[in-house]
Amino acid sequence: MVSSFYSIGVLILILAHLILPLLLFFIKEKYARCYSIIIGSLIGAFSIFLSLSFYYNPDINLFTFNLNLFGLDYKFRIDNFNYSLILLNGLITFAFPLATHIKEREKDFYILSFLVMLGTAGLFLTQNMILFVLFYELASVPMYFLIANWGTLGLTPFRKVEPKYAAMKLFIYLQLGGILVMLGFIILHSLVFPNDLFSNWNFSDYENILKVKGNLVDADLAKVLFVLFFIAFGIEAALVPFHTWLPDGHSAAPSSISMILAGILLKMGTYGILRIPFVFFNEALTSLSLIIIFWGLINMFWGAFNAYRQIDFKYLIAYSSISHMGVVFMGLGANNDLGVSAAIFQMVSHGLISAVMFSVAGSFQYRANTRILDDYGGLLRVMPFIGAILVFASMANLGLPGLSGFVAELIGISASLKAIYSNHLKIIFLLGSLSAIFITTVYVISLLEKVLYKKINPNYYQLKDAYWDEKLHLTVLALFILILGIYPRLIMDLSNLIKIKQIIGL
Amino acid sequence: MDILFKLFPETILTVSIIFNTLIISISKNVKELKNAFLLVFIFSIFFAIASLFFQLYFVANENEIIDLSLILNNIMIYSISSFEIVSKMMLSIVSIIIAFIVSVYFYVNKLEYEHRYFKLEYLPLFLTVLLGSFVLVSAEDLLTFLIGFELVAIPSYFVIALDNKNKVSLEGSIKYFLIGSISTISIILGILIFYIFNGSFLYSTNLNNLNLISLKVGFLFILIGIILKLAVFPFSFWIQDAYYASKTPYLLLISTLPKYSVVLALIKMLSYIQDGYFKILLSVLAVLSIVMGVFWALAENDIKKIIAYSTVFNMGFILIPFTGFSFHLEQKIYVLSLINFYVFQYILSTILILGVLLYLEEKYDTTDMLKLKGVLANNKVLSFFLIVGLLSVAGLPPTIGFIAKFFVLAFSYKFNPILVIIAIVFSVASLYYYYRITKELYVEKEFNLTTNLSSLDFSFKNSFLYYVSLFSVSILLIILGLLPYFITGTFYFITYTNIKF
Repeated sequence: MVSSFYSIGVLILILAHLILPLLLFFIKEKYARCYSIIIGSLIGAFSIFLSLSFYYNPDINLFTFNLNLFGLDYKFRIDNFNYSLILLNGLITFAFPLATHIKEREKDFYILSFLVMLGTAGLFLTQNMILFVLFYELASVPMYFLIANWGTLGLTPFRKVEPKYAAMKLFIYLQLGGILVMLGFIILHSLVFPNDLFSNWNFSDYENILKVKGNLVDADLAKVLFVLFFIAFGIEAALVPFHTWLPDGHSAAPSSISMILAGILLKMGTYGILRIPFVFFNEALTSLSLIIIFWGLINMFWGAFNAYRQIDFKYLIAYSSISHMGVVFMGLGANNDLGVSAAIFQMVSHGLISAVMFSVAGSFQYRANTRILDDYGGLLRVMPFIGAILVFASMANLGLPGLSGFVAELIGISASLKAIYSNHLKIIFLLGSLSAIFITTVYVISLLEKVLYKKINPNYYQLKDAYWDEKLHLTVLALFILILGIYPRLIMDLSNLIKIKQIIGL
Repeated sequence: MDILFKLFPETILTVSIIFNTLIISISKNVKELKNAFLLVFIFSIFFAIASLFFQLYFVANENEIIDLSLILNNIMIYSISSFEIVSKMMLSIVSIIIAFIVSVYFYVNKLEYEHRYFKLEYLPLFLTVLLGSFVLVSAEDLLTFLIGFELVAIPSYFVIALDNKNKVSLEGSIKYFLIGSISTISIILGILIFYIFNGSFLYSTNLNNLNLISLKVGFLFILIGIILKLAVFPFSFWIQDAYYASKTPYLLLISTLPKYSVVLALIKMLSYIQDGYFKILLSVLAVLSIVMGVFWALAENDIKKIIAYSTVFNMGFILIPFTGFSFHLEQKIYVLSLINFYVFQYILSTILILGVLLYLEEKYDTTDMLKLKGVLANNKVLSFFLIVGLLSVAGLPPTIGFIAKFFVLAFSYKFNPILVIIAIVFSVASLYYYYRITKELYVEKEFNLTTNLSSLDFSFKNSFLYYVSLFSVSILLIILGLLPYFITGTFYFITYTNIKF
């Protein structure tokens, strides 16, 4: 059951996510934020510690916690798939209480948002299908209440978006994804263990059986199952025809919840694709590779194109998120060594960048009481710190060398090029992705121009620059963007396909 | 075996019904005897559970199959095997939870005797329904089944009419009575056909062999009678009126025990059927119930009516595992225990929702969610209970409702994938109306209902036990949801140790 200090650490990480926030019930309303900041920092530091100790000591047996209760394995493990996402999860857990500007019903707010963090951390760590679905729902159900209760009005060029509408839309979409995942698990179970009434639902059992009896699932069925899982998780990861919940949800949510949504919740979907269909039906992927790469390209292009048209700050960041998730799909579709690294690297990099940008958007909204881009102007002069951070994050967003966004895009595109064999398609792909990157540059620069450099609105002269809490979490997140940019081996070393195949035994 | 040992729970219940009725009839001043009355009630159910536990221990600890059944000249079999004992235990546990919630709300908390709608006669009627459920579960022949069925049904009509100053309740009671009579007539007709052809009332002689078309028709009559009671789709037209007419404490009774016991009797009957037609018929009814339950509930604003339609939906879900029913022993027991578990968890979650509704209806005299906008926005505890209950009914983790739905679907997929996919799609659709309830009651902020009808204040201090009972139910739902094989395994393995049929 317990093999090392680290395996107890994994258990403690889950329990800390569960128990520390529940103590909020006994804390007075006015100390709720203070307490949340403390426990967020503790949990965040512990996650970063565990993830870095896995980096320096990459032995999954040390990091496995397994407890069998009444016939179900409560198995949690840090491995090459998820150690970087645990790092990201820790950083967001640390950052979001510091970025919160909520003033009413604070206790409810923090309890619900820590429940989301429990769901995401558990989903990344668990090795069991029932627990996987459980944590998936735990992460998506409180989102409804968080957005509907504390949300603000969003604005697109065409319509206004009420928070309750956005919350219900998000909830229904995420439930659809969750229930499709459940359907996929049920089909998988009926194929692999047809006569097992009390089965264990462990990933490893399915991996072993699918590996030994390769003919258990025939090629066409494997393709169908791959597509089912891809779409099911793609709904959560903002795959293009199913992405419309994401901009509405992001812009309606309070900014710290947007940080969680973009930083972690989107990664649940891509991690799910990586962990389940990518591993279980890897042969099916080889024939679908091209479709998925181009699907990713469409995602990238569509997100960038829509981001350019937006008038609301948060809508712009949300569409840029969709654009960046395209790189993850490309990397997964490429199905080669670089591709998986690119996908995982982009998950972490995009999590950090979008968290910083949403936090900045939240700070602007808190001070200037608007999110319309044309209402801002010249804010760099009154808020030099936040402005500088916004410039930094935007540069990372458009892929400036030396920052994390560049590495992800570079290896993502080169991995996809390696996986495309036809020369014509290579040229089309290259043109498409480069024009998407070009559009990204255009909207990022125009964003900076509108927000920071135009003539200043006279109402905004008295606005304050960042407080200590904003300074703290923005600096830490920006530091990690820089670290990943100049030392990408932190993720690339362990998350490549060879290492992953060794674990799974593909 | 001593007959007193076999029938001890039923005897306890009968004696306490007589005792309670006597108290009511002889006492002029019930106020003084109220607590003694309650004590008799709670203790009788506790005794019933204790004796059932003793029987279970006895049955499950022997190597050879021990039969506690009472057999009377091949006319009547009153069967007591591990399946019946477990089911009766769960029925008793459900009824003690309901009784506790209602009692601490109306007996301990409220000081005056003359309540607006709550009457003391509730408790003996409740015990009669419980006794009827015991008989219904143990029945192994059609006559005993009929007796149990009527014992469950007749008190339910009275219970709705207990609120006798309300015309809606009286009307609902009459409607429910008419529907109940039709279902009884249908069942009696079926029994007659079986008796004419086979000369016997036993399940084993009658249901094993449905070769003749007349016998099929006979079983169809019985099935119609039963699903009329369960409100499966084509016969579910009455349920919203009956639920709307009954006040919440009475709804807590009529929506739980009769449903549970009739489902148990139905699965016992179906476990004898070898005919493939009924499997197809049941899966068609399951699809129709699931679809129509969702469609009706989408447009509804009254919480009681939504619960009624969600009952229709869940009765459809209960019929799904029958597609995987076979005479392979392990699979048969698995289906029986799965359905038993499903109904048990559904009833627990319904109790939690109705427990919150008990407070809302008593205080504001309405269950329309548009009139109750934002009532729970500042009441964290009750909104927690309501959200847990709704999550469980909707089948979302980390509650037990998710586990039940997941196991039902995972088991049935390899037998009937289309049915499972339809059920999954409509489960997503059903989330909409469950979440509308939380939206209106918890998320909305404007609350203008100033007409506070109750003269009694409902502070945390004098309703401590009410909160504790609801809290324990909600924690039970979550903990059982986190230990999925604990309760399903319990149902399965206890049934497996001593299965008779």
